[in-house]
Amino acid sequence: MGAYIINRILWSIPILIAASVVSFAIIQLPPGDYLNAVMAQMRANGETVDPAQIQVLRDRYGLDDGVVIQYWKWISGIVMHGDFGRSFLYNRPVDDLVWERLGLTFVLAFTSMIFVWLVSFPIGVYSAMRKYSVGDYVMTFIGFLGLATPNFLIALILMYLSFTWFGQSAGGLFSPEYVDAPWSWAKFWDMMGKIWIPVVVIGTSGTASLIRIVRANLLDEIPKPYVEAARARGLTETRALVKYPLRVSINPFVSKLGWEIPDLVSGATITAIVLSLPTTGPLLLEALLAQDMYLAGSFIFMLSVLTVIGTLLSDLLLAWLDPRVRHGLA
Amino acid sequence: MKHITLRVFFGFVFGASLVSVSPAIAEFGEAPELAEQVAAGTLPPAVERLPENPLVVTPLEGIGTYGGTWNAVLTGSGDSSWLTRTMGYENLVRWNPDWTEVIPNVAESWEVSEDGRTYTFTLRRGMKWSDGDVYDTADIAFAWNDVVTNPELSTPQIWMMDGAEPATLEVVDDVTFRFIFKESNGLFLENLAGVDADYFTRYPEHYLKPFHKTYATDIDAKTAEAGLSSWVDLFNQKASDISPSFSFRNPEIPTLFAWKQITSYDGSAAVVRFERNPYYWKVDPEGNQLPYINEAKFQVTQDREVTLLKAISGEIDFQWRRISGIKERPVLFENAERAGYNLHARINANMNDAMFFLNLTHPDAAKRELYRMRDFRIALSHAINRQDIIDTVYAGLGQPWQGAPRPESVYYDEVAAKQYTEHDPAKANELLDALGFTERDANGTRIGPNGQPIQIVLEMASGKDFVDIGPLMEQHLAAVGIDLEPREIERSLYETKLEGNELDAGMWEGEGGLGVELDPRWYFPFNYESSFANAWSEWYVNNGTRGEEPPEAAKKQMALYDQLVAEPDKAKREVLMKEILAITKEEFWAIGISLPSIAYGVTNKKLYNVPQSFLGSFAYPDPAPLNPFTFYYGEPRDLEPYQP
Repeated sequence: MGAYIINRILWSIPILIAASVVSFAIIQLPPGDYLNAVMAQMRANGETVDPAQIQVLRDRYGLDDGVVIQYWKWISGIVMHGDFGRSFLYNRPVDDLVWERLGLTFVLAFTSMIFVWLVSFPIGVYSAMRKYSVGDYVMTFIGFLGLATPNFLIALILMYLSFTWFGQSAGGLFSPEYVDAPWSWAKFWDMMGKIWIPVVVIGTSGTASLIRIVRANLLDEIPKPYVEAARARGLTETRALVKYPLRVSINPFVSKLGWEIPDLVSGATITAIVLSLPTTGPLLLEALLAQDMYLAGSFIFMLSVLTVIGTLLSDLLLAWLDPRVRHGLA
Repeated sequence: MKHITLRVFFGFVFGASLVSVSPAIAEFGEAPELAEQVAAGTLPPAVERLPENPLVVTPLEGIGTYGGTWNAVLTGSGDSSWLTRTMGYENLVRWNPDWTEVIPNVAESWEVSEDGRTYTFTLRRGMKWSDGDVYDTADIAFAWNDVVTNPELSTPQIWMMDGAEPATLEVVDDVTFRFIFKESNGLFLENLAGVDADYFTRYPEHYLKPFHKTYATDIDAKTAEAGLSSWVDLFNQKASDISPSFSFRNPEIPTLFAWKQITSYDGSAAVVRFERNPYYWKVDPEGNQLPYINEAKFQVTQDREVTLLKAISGEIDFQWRRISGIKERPVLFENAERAGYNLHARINANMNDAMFFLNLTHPDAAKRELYRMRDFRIALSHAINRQDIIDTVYAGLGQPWQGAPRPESVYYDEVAAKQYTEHDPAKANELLDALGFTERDANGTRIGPNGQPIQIVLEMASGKDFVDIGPLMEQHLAAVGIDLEPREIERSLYETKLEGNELDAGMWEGEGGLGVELDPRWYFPFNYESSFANAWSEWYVNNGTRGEEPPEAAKKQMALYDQLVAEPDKAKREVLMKEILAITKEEFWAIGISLPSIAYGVTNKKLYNVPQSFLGSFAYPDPAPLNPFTFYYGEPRDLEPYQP
């Protein structure tokens, strides 16, 4: 086990270095730079772009430096001072911008994850046990519907309905009177009244895929001899199911956890934009569109780091959960 | 409300009229909240807060009452120009509500020397920043000497330059200063009234000096403490971004605005809040200090659809921004009654929804030769079915229009606006045949002068309404044997290609339908926005040192414009502009599609002093010239939407 852990950790170092290079390269790929985006924005406003002003800005931001110099400035800041650079767009440190949005992002992501698990697990088990029954078909149909409909569309529809039927204020997690109020029970309840929309929207697609995964895994496991053996020993159907095949079918949940963590931060970007949620997703998109290279690059890099950490965690969890993985048998 | 005798002076100096009003009795009305603070001794009395000669603004409908909140919405974190339009725009001078004349604002009066070279301004004695500090010529000198002409921080715009050097500033006393140019500068006041000409009223010397290298001895320590790499970054942060424009990021900076900022617009606040500025320097005719409305709240959404939903759920009191598109219009009208708003009409000052241009300075010699044929452009214009475009893309709203001033403009010329707009494929074919492009390839595309089929790549920045025009025009032009290939490209890419003169053909909105003299970008190769002839504009902007020498007609226009800029007399400027436009009409540089229709926004039914219809443009930053600080809440009323 020890060697396995060390091996995994050592592997993540070159991966992280590669990730930093790739993140920086990606944001250099689109044509132009931050100032082209600024000029586009100004032009869209009808403003006249003065090339002399733009040159002053270009010098200030060091955008005429070579790519290697820019990369070195950036990565040395991160490694030596934990400084992710400054966002051009907001003229603020990148860490501040990301941190202040992480809280709500995590709340929302965890709530959605729990919603997904609570809904999809029982349905998946039911669908597997009552294969090809009416219930299975209905669930499958709804599941596929959730998978096939774009999240942002569901978001728009739900928002419109909640506005026309309940007269609720659209967008955001709070009513106008609470938006900039300090935290209180009233504000918390107000948020609870609105958080279900993003949770349901973000949840629907996840639910659908997890239902399918659980169902398929269980169907693989149920016909196996060890289940038969459990039944033969007189275990009830439910107990035989929960004790053995269900445990095996949990593996994909755990290995998916690795992807879940970066998803917590960047996932559901479009949904968050449509719903105007103060989470990290819209920040990332805005940074990419504006070619705000330190913000976007650091963001992508953080996501890579989270993916690496997440994968490491899920590897370790899997090893703990499943002896076959631990011994390199599966 | 107190009664006040008004003494009104009228003085005319070379066409620019100045109005000076000073209340004889120095007693002012003020908001109850402020009166309480004065009574409690935490705020000086109104007479000490206001300048000796406050600006008297006559409200549109009547004297208002104090109180209430102005709710509006910002979309995304790059929407600061909506804040400038509503909360900002306090320049030395401003546009009047009709956008016909420059009127006094921060400066109470000015004088222009006979030769048009010296501009002498007088400020309001005793005027204060929002923190109570005096605003005087020290602020002007700081803004000019230490910010605008400091090469580390900024460069002055071209109209503040004297050839290659910045103009000369001369401070006479506390409230008087002069700008001196070597040559006559006829458009100086008009430029100074522009929305981004806030250079002299946004840099409070007392607040910013401690962050300026020239004045702060401990600047390095301060920079390090703020975690920044240079003093320029620090100064920039404190000054709410020097360029490209005031960003409303730093709420601490004292301003001259009617409401002072409380929360920063920095990408994290969900609401950007503003509160009454107790030192605001404008009053109504009865001497009541403005603004009437107590505070402003801007919710920040991430998406236009959400902004629209907020409008139709009645969460917005006055706004057109991001909700006045053609797509939004039916939804706005449908929900007006339930949400409790009236609709106001915004007459877009653009003269065109979409200007279709061929790159006349194309790097490819064959293409350039083709595109410079005037008859070729006329043929394309006749081939375009504008009514089809208007019906399909603009819901039938608009009318066929060339790149020519709007009907409301003094420069309106029906022939220029309507020439070559009738859909006439036969005539187009005739013209193309006459040019000698009679041969066609297997697809029916005409063979051009270089033996290749005539193919035009039309690139358009994504997200604009006019991208839908491309496919329609592709059909229209195919009918006369021209292969148009429309492409929607990302905005920054469009920008890069435009900058590098790499576009074959493109499309953009037609600015300059009104305010023609200040923004003639579509009428001749004027600046970097004259997309149809990048290299010619470059030649003009750089006085012939760069770019490419334009043809005689364009050179004539440039010479005329140089005369216009130097001409202090308004009537003579008009004559010159008409001459320029006559050449535009003849040369037909770019092809217009349709005149924009009226856009509608929402006004709370309880909101008074708001016009039912007004002009809108970037150069005329509505609603700011309509005096939003006179808006007030009264009894709800229904108003029919304005129809032309």
